Amino acid sequence: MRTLRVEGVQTREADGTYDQVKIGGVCTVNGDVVGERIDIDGVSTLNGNLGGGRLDCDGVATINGNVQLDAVECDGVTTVGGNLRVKHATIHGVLTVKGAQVEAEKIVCDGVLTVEGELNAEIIEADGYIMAHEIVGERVVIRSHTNRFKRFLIRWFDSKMGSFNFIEATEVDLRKVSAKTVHGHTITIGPKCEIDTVDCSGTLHIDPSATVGTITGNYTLV
Amino acid sequence: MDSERISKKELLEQTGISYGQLYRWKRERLIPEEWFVKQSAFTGQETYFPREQVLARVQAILNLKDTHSLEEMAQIFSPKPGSAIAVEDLIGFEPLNKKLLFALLEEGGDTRTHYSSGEVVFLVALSPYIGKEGFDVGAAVRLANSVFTAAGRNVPSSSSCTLFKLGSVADGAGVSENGCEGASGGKGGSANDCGGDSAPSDFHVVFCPGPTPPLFDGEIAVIGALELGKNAELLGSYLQTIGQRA
Repeated sequence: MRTLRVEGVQTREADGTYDQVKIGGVCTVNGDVVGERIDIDGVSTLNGNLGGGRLDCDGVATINGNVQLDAVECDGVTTVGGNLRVKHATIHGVLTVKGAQVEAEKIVCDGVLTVEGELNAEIIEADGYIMAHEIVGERVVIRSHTNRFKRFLIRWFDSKMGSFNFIEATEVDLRKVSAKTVHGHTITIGPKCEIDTVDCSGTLHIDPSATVGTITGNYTLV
Repeated sequence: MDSERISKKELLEQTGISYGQLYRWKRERLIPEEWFVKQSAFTGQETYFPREQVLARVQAILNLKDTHSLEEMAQIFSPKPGSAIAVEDLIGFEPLNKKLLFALLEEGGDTRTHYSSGEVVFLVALSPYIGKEGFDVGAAVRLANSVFTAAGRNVPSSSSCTLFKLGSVADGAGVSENGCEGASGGKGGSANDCGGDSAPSDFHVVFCPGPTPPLFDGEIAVIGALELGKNAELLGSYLQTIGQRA
């Protein structure tokens, strides 16, 4: 079994495929890394692309490259400088993607997810906070909450959490979300949403406490 | 909206696919990202596609989706650019100009046994232009080698690619004057069918990320647009039929 273990305070050159990657302490790893199992606990910076199986980040990780993995579980703070392509992502902590795209089969977020470009996923279920320029996919469910911890997160990270330019999916279910445009087939605009334009091609439900500007499309209001 | 483009809404209505399917196919590289062209609209933003290409692609996906997995379809529509294809497998690939292939091999001293799918797609896309506007086999070989040197094995096959010649088309009329088809590329290359006096660097290509071809000034003679996407599909289908995975 090939293992890359980086601990303490150090800088390592790495460029290869590993069965296991364990990064603790305060370290910098230079080079592309592919790992079947990647654990990051300390404060680490990877200057290269990351690929492989599963990433568990409990610490603070900065990846200055593209990331392509089967699964990501983020309990700490993870920043991806490039694009992220993943089958399943679970975000309890804070994940920031600075590249143009995030592509996933399923994203479950009860933490904070910030995407500077397009978030394209089959299923997005957000109980926490997501900020993205665009969200597209099959099923998008965003139900923002405002408990004390999350109010703190909003103030700490970005006052625009829960706001989007564009949401487009076959099924869209929103609560306490503000967006410029929402396109979809089955759309639920839940309580306290603020949407400028809705284009619906199927059924549309709008909560009385929601604010919606223009509605277009061939839809049935339910 | 012009007739060459189709809006996303119109595409969904015409083909009966859902938003989810469209974005799934985008994620799986069945529909190239370059085909999604965003423009501002009164609803905020609208996405347009090259009409003919996207309608043909969606129909092809719908035809294949019950018998092929997403991965198999991705292989058909966009073979991995860097993957290797044996030369002997290319001999039976109808759309590839064999003179061009053999000239390339001859020039390389018969050392290459494989070409990447991106390289093959490029060669196939060049093939219909050989013999037109003075673009002969020798010129095609030089151009191909130049592109392969610049792009390595990863010649892009999802972008648009335009073949052009420095100087107006009329300037390249040596074709008819010397009575030799495809004469303008020859600078003594062994692959040339006949001699010519054009500089080796006369013919060029430019790759663009989107579907819209570039605009040139009057000093540039555009020969044509290389159909990379269509030929990538042809190659993918061919590799499937001969049982090779690119």
